[in-house]
Amino acid sequence: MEELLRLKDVTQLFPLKKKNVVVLDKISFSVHEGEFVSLVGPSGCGKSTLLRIIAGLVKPSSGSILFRNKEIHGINLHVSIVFQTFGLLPWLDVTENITLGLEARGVSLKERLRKAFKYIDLVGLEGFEEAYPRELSGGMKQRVGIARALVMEPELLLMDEPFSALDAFTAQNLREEILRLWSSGKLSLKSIIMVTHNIEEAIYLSDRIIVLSTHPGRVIGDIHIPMARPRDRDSIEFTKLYDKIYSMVVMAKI
Amino acid sequence: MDDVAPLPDVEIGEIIGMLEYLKEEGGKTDIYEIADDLNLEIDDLVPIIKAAELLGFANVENGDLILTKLGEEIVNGDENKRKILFKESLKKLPVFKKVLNILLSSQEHFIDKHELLSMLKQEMPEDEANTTLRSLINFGRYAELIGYNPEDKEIYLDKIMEE
Amino acid sequence: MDRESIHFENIVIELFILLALIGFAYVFYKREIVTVNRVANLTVRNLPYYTLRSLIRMGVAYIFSLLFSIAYGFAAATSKKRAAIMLPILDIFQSVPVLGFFPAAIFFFIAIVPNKIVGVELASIFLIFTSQVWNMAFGVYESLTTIPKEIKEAYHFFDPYGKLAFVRLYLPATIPKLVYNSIVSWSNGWYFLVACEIFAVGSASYSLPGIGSFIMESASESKISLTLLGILTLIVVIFLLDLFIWKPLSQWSRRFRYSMNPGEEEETEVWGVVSLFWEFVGKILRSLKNKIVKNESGVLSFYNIVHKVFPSKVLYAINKTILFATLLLTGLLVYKIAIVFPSFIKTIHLSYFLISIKATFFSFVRLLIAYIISVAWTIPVAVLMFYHQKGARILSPILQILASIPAVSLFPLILYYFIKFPHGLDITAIILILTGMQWYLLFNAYGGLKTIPNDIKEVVDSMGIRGPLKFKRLLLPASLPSIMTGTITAFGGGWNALIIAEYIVLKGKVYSVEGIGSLLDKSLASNNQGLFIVALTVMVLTVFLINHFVYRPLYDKIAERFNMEA
Repeated sequence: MEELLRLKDVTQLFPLKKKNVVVLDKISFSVHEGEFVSLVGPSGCGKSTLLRIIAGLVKPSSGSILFRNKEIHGINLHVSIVFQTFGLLPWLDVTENITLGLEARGVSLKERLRKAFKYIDLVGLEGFEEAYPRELSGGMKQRVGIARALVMEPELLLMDEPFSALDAFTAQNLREEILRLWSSGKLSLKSIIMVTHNIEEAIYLSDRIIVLSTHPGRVIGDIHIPMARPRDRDSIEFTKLYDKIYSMVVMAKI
Repeated sequence: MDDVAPLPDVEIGEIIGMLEYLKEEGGKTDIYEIADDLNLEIDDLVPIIKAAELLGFANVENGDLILTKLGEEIVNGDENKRKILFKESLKKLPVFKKVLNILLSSQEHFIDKHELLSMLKQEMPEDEANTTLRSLINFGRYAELIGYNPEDKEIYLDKIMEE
Repeated sequence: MDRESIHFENIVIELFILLALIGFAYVFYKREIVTVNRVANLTVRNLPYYTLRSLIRMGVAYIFSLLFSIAYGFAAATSKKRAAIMLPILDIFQSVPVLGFFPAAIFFFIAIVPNKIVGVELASIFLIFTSQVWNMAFGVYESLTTIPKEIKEAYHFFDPYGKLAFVRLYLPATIPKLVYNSIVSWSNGWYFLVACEIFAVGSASYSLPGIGSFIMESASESKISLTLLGILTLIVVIFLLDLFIWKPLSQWSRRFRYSMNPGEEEETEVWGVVSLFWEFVGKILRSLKNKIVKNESGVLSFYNIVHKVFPSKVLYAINKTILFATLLLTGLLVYKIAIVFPSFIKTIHLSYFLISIKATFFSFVRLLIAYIISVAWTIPVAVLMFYHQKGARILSPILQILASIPAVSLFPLILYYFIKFPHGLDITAIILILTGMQWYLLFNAYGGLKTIPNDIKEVVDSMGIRGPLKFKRLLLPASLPSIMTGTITAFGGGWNALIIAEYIVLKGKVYSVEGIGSLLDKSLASNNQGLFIVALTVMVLTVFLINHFVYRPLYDKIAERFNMEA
């Protein structure tokens, strides 16, 4: 499959008074079309920062990001992002929140609504079109977050700990939803990159897991998950992978 | 008139998530084990189980939670199928029957939120009336049975019902 | 940069601003004093007309305040450089007794507007504006700098060029604080409106027909029933505005807050009739909006409008022009001050300073007496209300209404009863200051007591701690931070009250007591420019020094020591 994204020696320094702390140290990897990649690592390994660098929200201290072989500066318009704490505007209703990005790009109201309804339908938000975020549970808010990202029809979807602010069942439900969308073929998406600290979640969902170390953040593992979906969490293969990645993350911490 | 029982304070995502979990466990599991496995407080789990039972998606027998046929259909169905099944189950609930009756019989097919709340308060304690109203709006919106306009604070009949 | 040096820089900047203000007062000091009647027809039939005049004055000032505060807060919040100068300006204007600059403001507006009546009218609007705007501007600044990081980040991602940022992000984010502070500003505005209308400059008065001048004029003509009627009208107007505008508005503003617990229900404090009225208005507005938005998708884009009208080069030019104009005006002011400075120095005697300091001392004693009386009755009442929640629920709304009366409007009435006694004006002045101070203290003390966490209360009760010991160990420390806040606000209002209360002209007869307020008036009346400027400087500096070296350190210490979140 074709290469979608390439990171070349991405380094991020965090300036302190006397010296710089290296948050990310020469991170390089590629993501190809059709891949669901998870970034896993102990807290403080800079995985969320790395995701923001890919999105163009944060400028790296050095190194470059190539999207389809073209270097990206500023917000990458081919990607979209789902945030951990949703980041919805409380004064806009569900439809307005979802179409914010289209509105900012000058898409007409008619077209905006047409697209909004398509994705509202896909993520199961019908009936909530005119609700305000404060009326919604965490799970529903994150569905809005997902629809807001998808409506931009990105090729690459970034998700920053998308299920960690949700309760167990809601998270379970949304994970299934993401897999269903991902395999439905109804989306413009070519690839997904997800940041998570939940190893089980990463194995359950992704095709490939990139493990980062901390202080400084480096790539210390790149593991393919060859299992067919739906995956059985109790299978031997799953448990083995879990143990392997778990020990990598623990080692990375020490 | 049926006894209008309060609705549990849960989200649709929680119910469906639990059904999905249940299916993964082979359609039957010990309630205590669910709580243990997912690190859930029993107090958080009980309302979800109650809701699933009320809607006919799961049964409790001797401390086990068992996925019903309807529940399995929900798990296997796509979003639209789920909504249809949800709608059928909701229509059987006394609270929904009552609200739908009011909406169908009123001329404009809508009712003020506060009006409905004070009606619910005659049937149950204030706390439960509040959560019931919230779940009612949430479930009803999800199943596209009723809609709610937050600007005017009005609950109305969704288009599909207005045949 | 550490805290100390920031503090020091702020003091320097604030001193500069103070000097500029005094310079302004000096440059626009004029000999000529206008003499016009206040209220021509003192009859009940004219009362609605005068009320309307006052309301228009308030409304115009408020609209200017709203626009200015949004622009000012926005400018300060979007650049650290600008904030470094704009925040100290905010601070100064919030603490300086603006009423002392009223004469200069009148002369300024008379100087730039050919029509004198319009000039006086503008000066009063300007003064009401200055009493409203800073608090609101601070609210805007604060809301914009406290937008949650994740919301800002998400917004930035989906609108990377910020084309809709003003309408979709910044403006909505300011609404809760803007509405809340508007309510405070509006009641400040009433105070200053009435103050402007009854203010006396020298031995002359000028035309500002309104509800305040109606009250003052009827009191000085001994028509006490008309005075009472005027005050009652004012109370009713304030009450209705609160009911129909501010209550629904603060209810509406709740939807712009970030706390998003799905369980949270909106409070229903708005009357049914009122909410029906607004629902009706809302429906009309929404259908209008829908009609407009349907045709043109880019209507909401402030960015587009601005950029269509002004291409970026023009915008850049405008920006620079504003900067240049500000610099030019400042330069002009400095130049004017420099030119008149030598002759100004000659008019100043060292004795002026001594007179001013002595007068300030007398005024301060008056403030202190009023403060002690306030504390003496409000703290026990707050404690009583705290112990008897039921009684408090009945009492609270009554106190709220009483507190909403601008204290100055009662001034003519108090004056009427007390002026006959020996030291009558002294008593009147203290009562006026008291009526302004007491409510801040009462509500702040009661509010502070209500925030005591239940578990702490239970622990104290379970140990059998009661009576004075409970007051000393729990109630007082718990409410001290908010009492301090109330104290600062109360003193701020007190200085303004002095300026009105220490010098009064009734039917051509001058009544005055020794104090900084009367010194300002007297120096104006006797056309002693040097004394006026010295008195103004001494007063402003006193307030400034007390703020920086008494209140703030004290407040910080109390807030740190008695914070409940330890």
